[in-house]
Amino acid sequence: MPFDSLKNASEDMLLTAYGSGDRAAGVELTRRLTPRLLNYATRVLGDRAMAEDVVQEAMLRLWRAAPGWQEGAAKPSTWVYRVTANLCIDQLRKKRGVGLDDVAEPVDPALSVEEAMMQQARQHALAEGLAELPERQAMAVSLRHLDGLSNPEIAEVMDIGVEAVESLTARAKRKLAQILGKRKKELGYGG
Amino acid sequence: MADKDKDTELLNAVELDSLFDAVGQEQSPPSAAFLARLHADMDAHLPHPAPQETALPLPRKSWIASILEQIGGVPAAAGLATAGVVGLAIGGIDPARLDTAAAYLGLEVVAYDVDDLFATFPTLSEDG
Repeated sequence: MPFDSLKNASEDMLLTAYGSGDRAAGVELTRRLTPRLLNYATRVLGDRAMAEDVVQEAMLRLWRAAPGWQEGAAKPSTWVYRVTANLCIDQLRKKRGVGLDDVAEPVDPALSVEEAMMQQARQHALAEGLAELPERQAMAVSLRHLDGLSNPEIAEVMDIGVEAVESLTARAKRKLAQILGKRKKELGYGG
Repeated sequence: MADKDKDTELLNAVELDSLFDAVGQEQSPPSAAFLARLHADMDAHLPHPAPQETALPLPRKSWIASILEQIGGVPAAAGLATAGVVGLAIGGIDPARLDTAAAYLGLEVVAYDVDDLFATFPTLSEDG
């Protein structure tokens, strides 16, 4: 596939091209998918190294599926997100108690010290709030508000209907608002 | 009063969204070492299509060779030539001298009237 068309190619086309022996298509697909997958897994698992292992396994399964990939059946990103989410759940069930507090979230270097500390506090608070949610609510609201997936994409990742995604997300946000409301002042909210 | 207290315990939608933004903004990119691992897996599973056999250029054929190929090669051409010669010979022979020609070729001459070659109408109608 010519370099120019790589940037404009759909995920489907890239994966099909890789499945036909196009290495450049595989590199482009890796570039597009890996950052979001890695951030998602890191957030869920609270362990960067474990997250890298999970994402590596998920991408490996994608390469194996490539030769038989049917264009239009599913988006590669939602397919690999689903694999990543399931692998994360497997890891969490094996190793309960790993929290996102262990994750050193990077902070915007442009912020003042005070702002940076507040941002880190908010990151930790949200992580703790997500950890208190039922698994599927946490997944739905994370995919929506942290990974930027649309409701139909989330539905595909979680293998549920769009209405179910909306319900899970709404319930998750109500619960988070309640859990974190008690820490409003600490998080710099409210008058 | 109790309701007001209860309301202050909830984050509103804007506050909640800002929390999501705080986490969502700072996403660390994959390290070079991690990408190298992914690329190694990608390369290991990259399908290799079967190489196409490179066809050697065929030598250009002469027009005679092309024609021979069309009719079935040299043996067929030889048969055609023989038939042609025999045909000419038969056509050029005086019918009266046909017996001589036939004897020369080792053939028996059998003469038919044209009517003998076709069934007559009564015969056809008998056959139904």
